[in-house]
Amino acid sequence: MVTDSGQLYTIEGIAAAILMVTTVYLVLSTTSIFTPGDSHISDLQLEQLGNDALAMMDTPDHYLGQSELETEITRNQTDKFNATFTSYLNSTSTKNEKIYYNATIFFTNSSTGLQNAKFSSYDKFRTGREKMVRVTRFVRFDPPGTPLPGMDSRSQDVLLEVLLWRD
Amino acid sequence: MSRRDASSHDANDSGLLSIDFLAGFTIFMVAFIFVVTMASGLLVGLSSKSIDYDGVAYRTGVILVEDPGWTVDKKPSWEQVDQYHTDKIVRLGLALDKLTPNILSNSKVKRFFSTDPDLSYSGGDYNSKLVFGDYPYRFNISMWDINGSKYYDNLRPVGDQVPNNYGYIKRVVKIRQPGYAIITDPDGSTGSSIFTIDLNMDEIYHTTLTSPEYQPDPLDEGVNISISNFNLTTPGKINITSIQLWKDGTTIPPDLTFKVNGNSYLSYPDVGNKQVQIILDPAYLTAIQSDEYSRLSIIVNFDNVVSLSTPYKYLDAQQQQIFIPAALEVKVW
Amino acid sequence: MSFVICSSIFFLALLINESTLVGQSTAESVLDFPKHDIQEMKVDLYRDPANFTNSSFMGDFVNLSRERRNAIVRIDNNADRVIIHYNNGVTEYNETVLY
Repeated sequence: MVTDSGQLYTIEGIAAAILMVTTVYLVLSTTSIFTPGDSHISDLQLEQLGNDALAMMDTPDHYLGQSELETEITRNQTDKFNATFTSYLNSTSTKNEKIYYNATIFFTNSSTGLQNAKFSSYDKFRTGREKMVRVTRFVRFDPPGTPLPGMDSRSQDVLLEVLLWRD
Repeated sequence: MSRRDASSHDANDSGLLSIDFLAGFTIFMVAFIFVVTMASGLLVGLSSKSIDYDGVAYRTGVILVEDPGWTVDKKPSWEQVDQYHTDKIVRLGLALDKLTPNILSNSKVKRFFSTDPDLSYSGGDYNSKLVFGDYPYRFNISMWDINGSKYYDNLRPVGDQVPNNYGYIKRVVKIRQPGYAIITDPDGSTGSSIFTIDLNMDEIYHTTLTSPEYQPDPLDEGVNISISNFNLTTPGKINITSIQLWKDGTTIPPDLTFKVNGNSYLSYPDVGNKQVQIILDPAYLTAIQSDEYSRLSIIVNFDNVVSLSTPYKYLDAQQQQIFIPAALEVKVW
Repeated sequence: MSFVICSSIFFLALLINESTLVGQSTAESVLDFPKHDIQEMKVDLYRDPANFTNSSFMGDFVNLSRERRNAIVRIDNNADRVIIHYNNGVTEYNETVLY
C-alpha cells in the first residue's frame, strides 16, 4: 500500500537540492586554485624602464662632471633629449617598442613658488589609450644656460617629470 | 501522520508551514545569499601561470643589474672563480659595486655571457644562484647594445629558446669600459726634460676618493694616459728619447705592448704640440707581476726641456670613463 | 552528523574561494616601494657630499619632494655625519652616513 512515509515536501526538496548542488560546486571549485590576473605588470615594467632610462642619462662621464641630462636641461636641448631617451626606451633585441612620453619640468620660483614648464615630448599631439606611468628625477640646473619661462637663473634643483605610456 | 487524519476538528491544516520546512528554508536562504555574494567573484579574470613569471623575471633583473654578486669568502669576486669552485658562489650579479646600481662591470658581463664550455654554468647553477625558487624556471637573458644595435660585444644570449608566452622585464644599464686619464697643460715650476708619472697601486686601490664607478682599475682595465698641451720653454720639435718603467725601485724593460701614440715605444714619434698617449695592457701589468701594492713609475725622457712638474700622480689626472648604454632583457617561462 | 560535516566543508570552501581575491599582488607591492627615489638620494650623496650643504639645493629638493613626490625628506648635516630621513607615507627610510 502506498503511504506517504518518507516523502519530502516539495519545497523542502528543492531547498535541499539547491543546497547540496551549491556545496558540491564550491568544494569542487576550490580544488584548483587560481589567482587573479595581475593587471599592474605592465605598469611595473614601464615604470622600471623609465626610471632606469632617466638614471642612466643622469650618469656623468667623470667624477663630479655634468651628466647628459643636466646638460640637456640647462641648455634646453629638447631634440637631443628626445633622441637619447627614446633610444633607451624603445630599442630591444626583438622588435622595437613604441613608448610615448611627455616631459615637464617643475621648479621653484623664488617669488611665485612652484611652477612647471613643458620640456619635451615624443610627438606634440599624441595621446594614447593605455594607462600612463609617471617617473621623476632631480636634475641640477647650473647657469649659464637657457632657463625655461618662469625659472630663476640661479643654481637650483629642478624636478623632471616624465609621463610614459604605450600606444 | 496525524496531520493527515481527517479529524473531527473544524480547523484543518491547509496553509500551515511546518517547523522543519522553516529550518530547511532558512538554511537554503543562507546558502543562497552566500552564493550570490560570491557571484561577483566569478567575473574576476583568473589565470594560473602567467603572472608568476613576470615577478620572477623582475626579481632576476634586479639581482643581475643592482647586485654585485656574492661569494662565500667575499674574495675573490665571483667572475674570478673557476669552474671547479662554483659552489663558492652565492649569487650572480653584474653590478660594479653595491653602491652603483645599473652600472655594470665589463669583466662580470663577459664572464656571465661566456660561451667557453669551461666557464659556463650549468642549469642548476643558474637556478640556485640567480633565478631562485623551487620550480625549474627556464629563462633567456640577453644584453643589447643600444647605440650599436647589436648584442653587446656580440655576446649571444644565455638560456633556452623563447616560446610565445613569457614573463619579461627590460632594464637599461651602462657597462663600464676602460677609460683614460687626461693630463693637460702639465706645467711646473722647474723646467726638466724628464716627466715621471707615479702609479701607486696601493693608493689607487685602497683609498676611495671617488664614487666606485669612477675609481680607476689599472690591473683589470690597463693604464691609458693622454698627455697634451705641453708647455715648451724652447718651442720647436721635441722627441721622446726613452721611456722607462720602474716597478718597486727596479727598472723593467718595457714590453712591446707599451705603446706611445699607437706605435711601439721603439719608434719615438715627434711629439711637438701633439698628444702623447701611453697605454699599458692589463696583461703586461700581470706579466711584470704587479699587484695591488706595487708602485710603478713611467719615466718619459724628452730631448728638449719641457715645463713639467715631476713626479705627476696618476690619481691627480682627470679620470675620464667610458660607459656603453645597453638594455638587459630577461625572459622567464 | 552529515549536516555538521556538510556545513563545515561549506565554510572551508568559502574561505578558500574568498582568499584568492584578497591580498596585494607582486607588481603592486613593487610599484609602492620607492626604490628609485631612495637610490637617487643615496647616489647623489655618495657622488658629491657638497650638494647637501648647499642650502638653495636643499630647499628645492625638500620642497619638490614634498609637492611632487609626496615624500617628506629631511637631511641633518652634523659635524661628522649626515642623516637622511625619508617618508612617503608608505615607506620610511632613515640612513646615517659617516664620513
